[in-house]
Amino acid sequence: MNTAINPCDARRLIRYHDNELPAGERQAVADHLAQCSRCRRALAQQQHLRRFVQQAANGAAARTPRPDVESALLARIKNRGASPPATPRSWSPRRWAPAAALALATLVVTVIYNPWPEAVVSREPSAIVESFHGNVSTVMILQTQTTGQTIVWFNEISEPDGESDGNQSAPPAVDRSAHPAADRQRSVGRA
Amino acid sequence: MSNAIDRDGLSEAHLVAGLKKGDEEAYRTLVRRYEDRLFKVAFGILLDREEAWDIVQDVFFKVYQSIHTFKAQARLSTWLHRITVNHCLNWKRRWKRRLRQFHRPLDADSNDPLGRYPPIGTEQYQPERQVREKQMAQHLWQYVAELPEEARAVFMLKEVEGLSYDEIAEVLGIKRGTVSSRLFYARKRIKKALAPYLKEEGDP
Repeated sequence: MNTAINPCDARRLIRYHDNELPAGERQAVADHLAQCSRCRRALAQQQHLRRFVQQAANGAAARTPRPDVESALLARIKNRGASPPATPRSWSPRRWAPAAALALATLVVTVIYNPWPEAVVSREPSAIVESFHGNVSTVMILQTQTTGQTIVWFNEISEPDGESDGNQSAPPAVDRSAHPAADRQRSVGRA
Repeated sequence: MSNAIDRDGLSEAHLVAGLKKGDEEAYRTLVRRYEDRLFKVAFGILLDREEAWDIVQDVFFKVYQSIHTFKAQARLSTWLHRITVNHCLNWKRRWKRRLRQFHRPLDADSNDPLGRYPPIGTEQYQPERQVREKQMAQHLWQYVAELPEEARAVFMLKEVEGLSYDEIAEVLGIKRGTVSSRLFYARKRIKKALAPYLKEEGDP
């Protein structure tokens, strides 16, 4: 059966442009380009698009106030310790079995003797720096007193379109500070 | 893993060895070598400069935390791209539900706060061309923003980073054929949007 290849196949031209064709097919496209002005134009447009996207991305990088990524990274590393976390040994059920059994036993004992433990609440009070209330959510910005850590607290208003993730916060009247785990907090860490 | 010596004279193998040892100079090299590249990818997905820089910082710290899991046969750049794209996509999924109405115009730099216009009288000073390129850039980012996230990631990894189909497939954990079709789709949409500009360029 003769499966003639369309010489002006757009997908093949794209793969040529992306340098993803095997050598023989690449040469065939190059030969075709020498004769077909329409394909040459299409290729020129693809090349222009690529140059332009690269220039636009470079422009975005150049026009941005650049943070000192290097110093910020080294500072974070120093806060965590001098060397990277140790290489974990390969996982072995035999090695982890005793620890897993102990953890399970602890969990069972905890549930039996203290089925509804009180939520652990940080004793460190936080000060509200700013708060906003809108149609979509309530937002509070808090700062812890001793560590100066910034906490952004969200209380998203339930939406009728079903796109919410089913973990909505309670109405704002509830004192959420007693249930920090239920809140949507994002520690910004910019003291 | 590539043993090619980069501009700063450190092969990838030596760089990874230094990172695993927690060598400060290795982390400096890592940042200098990859910060711009990762920023462009992150910006192309998030379309927000500040968020893109935040992601880049998080990616480097993630490298510090996870470098022991990096396999010697892999390419460091592929690994970094994978972390970056995953961070970006997770970031978007997490935030778009909550702050859907938060909107920052794409053309936040419309007045070019850094004043980087070429001086009048120089060869680079071509107001019409600059206006045209600026309009084209605005259109580009608008239409990139309308692409599905996965297509956007493929598009940026190809056009900005120049990764091969196989490398993109590895970064995103998808098939090579999927890379090809997403890329075709993204380019078709972008090309259509920028047709008036590209037509001029393609004309003999």
